[in-house]
Amino acid sequence: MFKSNKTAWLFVSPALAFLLIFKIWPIGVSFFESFMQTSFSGKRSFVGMENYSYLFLHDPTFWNSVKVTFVFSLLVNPITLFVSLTMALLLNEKHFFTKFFRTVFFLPTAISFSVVAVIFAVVLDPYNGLANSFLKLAGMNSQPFFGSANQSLWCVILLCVWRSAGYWMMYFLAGLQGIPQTIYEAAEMDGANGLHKLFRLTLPLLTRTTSFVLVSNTAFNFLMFAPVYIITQGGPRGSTNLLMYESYTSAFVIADMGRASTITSILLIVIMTFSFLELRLTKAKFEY
Amino acid sequence: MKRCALVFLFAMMAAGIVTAQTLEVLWMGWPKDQVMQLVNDFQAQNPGIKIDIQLIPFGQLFQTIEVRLAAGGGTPDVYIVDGPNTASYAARNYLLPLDEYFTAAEKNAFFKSSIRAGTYEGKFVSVPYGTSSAGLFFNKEIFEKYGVPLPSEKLEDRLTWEQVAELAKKLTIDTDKDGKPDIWGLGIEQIDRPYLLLPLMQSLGAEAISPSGFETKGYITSDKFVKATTFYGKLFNEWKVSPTGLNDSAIAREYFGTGKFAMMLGNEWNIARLAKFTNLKYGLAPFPYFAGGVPVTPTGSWHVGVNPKSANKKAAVQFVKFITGKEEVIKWYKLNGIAPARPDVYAALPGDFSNPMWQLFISEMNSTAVTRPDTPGYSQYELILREAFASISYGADPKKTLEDASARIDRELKKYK
Repeated sequence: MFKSNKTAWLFVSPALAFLLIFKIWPIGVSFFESFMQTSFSGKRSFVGMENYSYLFLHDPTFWNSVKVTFVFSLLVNPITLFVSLTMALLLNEKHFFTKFFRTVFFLPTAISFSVVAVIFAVVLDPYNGLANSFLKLAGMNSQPFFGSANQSLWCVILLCVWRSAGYWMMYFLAGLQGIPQTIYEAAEMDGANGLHKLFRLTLPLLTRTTSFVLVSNTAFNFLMFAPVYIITQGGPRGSTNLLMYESYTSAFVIADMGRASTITSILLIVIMTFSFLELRLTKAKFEY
Repeated sequence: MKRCALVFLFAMMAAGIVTAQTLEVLWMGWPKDQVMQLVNDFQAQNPGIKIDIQLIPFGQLFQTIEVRLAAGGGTPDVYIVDGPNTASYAARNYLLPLDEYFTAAEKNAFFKSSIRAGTYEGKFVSVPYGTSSAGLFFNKEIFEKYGVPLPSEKLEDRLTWEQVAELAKKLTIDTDKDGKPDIWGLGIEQIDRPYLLLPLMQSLGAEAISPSGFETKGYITSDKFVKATTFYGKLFNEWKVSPTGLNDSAIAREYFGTGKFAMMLGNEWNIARLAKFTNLKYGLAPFPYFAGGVPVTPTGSWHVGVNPKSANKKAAVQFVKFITGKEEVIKWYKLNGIAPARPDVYAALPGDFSNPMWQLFISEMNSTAVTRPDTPGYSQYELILREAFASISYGADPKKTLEDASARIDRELKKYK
């Protein structure tokens, strides 16, 4: 398109500059900080791998946080994917109510995560919450929700799925609209039924969208912070202590910048590894 | 910005406009109309000194103090200090030693425990402005309704924690038979705060931190500390006489005020704050202790300090002495209800403090009160230990949780050595 690379570089340079200043540079600083420790008087000193060895060998809080983050990721990503894909498939048909429900399902996305967190905290309050009132009305036992180490992470997952599924549904809908109708017509001529069409045509042809949604959603959920900060503060008993929150408290509450930077650096490596694996596993095997 | 300000100042001085000294004061975000009454008093008596007071909301206060002092300038000249943060500020030379400015008689006007809280490495660095105490509030109607004899309100009949647990078991009641208590035996106003919980461990003879203030291993992991913490955990998990997760002290107070707690371990401010529950009939028993142990009660509150880099040290000390002095503390108590840190104020207001509940708190402050741990890393200590207490209230193993917490605290305290 361009005769020389120079022109191309010229065009990307503004974006590149912003990327360098606001993304690459802070990441670099954070990596650098993970090898440093700051004393209370503000004196910084190089400590080599000390922060890493402390986290890996002597820090049960960190390991619990790693466990919680992985469990959270392994649950929330497939569930979000499944729910948003299902909604998209249901709302891809043209009915008189389709547009209405597309809007309704998309609405939670328009609410900020902090507001969603406050709403969930009120609804799922163990003592005076709306959810428990309904359970009682239906003759069931009231539940502790965010007040129980066994239920709290599930409640955070529910919150995230409720907030995000509508957003990813839009990507799936766009993907579905992009599949040429003629392919389905040809399949029908060959006698394919609904299920055949779904599993043999729709899903394979959606691979690129699925791949994008999965990778973005995974990275997004690894960085989940607001609901934990607002509702649970990592508890009860560390059951919702996601790495991002642990890094935050380490940095801004206990003022241990070295430990915080080390956690974010580890998190970055984990996200990159996961993204790479997901991209490899969901690579489209054909062109259309 | 700073340079601009300096230029401006010089310009003003050259013009001869500046005749008065201005003191910048960083203060807790109490209602402005209340605070300004004291400030105006001072300015009326000291026409040469102008006070520029900044009221910072509680949520941002400590961060603001940190940032302003770390900047290293001469302002604020005077600032408010939470008692246990005294060491943290003093270790970084953020507090001017005041021994040369205060006579022995002036220092003796404050409670001894408050003076101790304002002292770091033998130097008097923060002047007590208020104090606090706690006890066991109980709902008389609930006791009477379920035929349980009322606890004694006398110091000499102090309940043991074992007795409190028995009472709490009797008074945890499921009135509507839905399998969940509607009246809880014991509520804890600050459910996971070391402030209110350390006296349990200290009652058994456990120490909260090493004498150096840099180590918790062997202290918060000691058998006695674990034993008292286990008792605390049982309240929620084995005997189920306290509800988990009620970590807002205002809500705990609502529970007590509306008859959902038979007893509540809470602070002296409840005398004023429970007044809104007009139907509530309650009593106050002394802070319990463990059988075979010693009575220990929490204490401590706000102090006032002077920035050693202030250009107006003399005026700053003058202001500190004024605002912590008898007359102004009386005025402040009348305005805001904070427990004064001066015995002479209690003596001056017999009408207010002759109330037996206040009498109880005053005796506790004079005899059983123990200040929070003396360490420059108090804020880290408090946060991590608080997390550990919260986990234990949710059923985590006390010994293991305290050991983990101790390792984390000790790592953070190393930075202060």
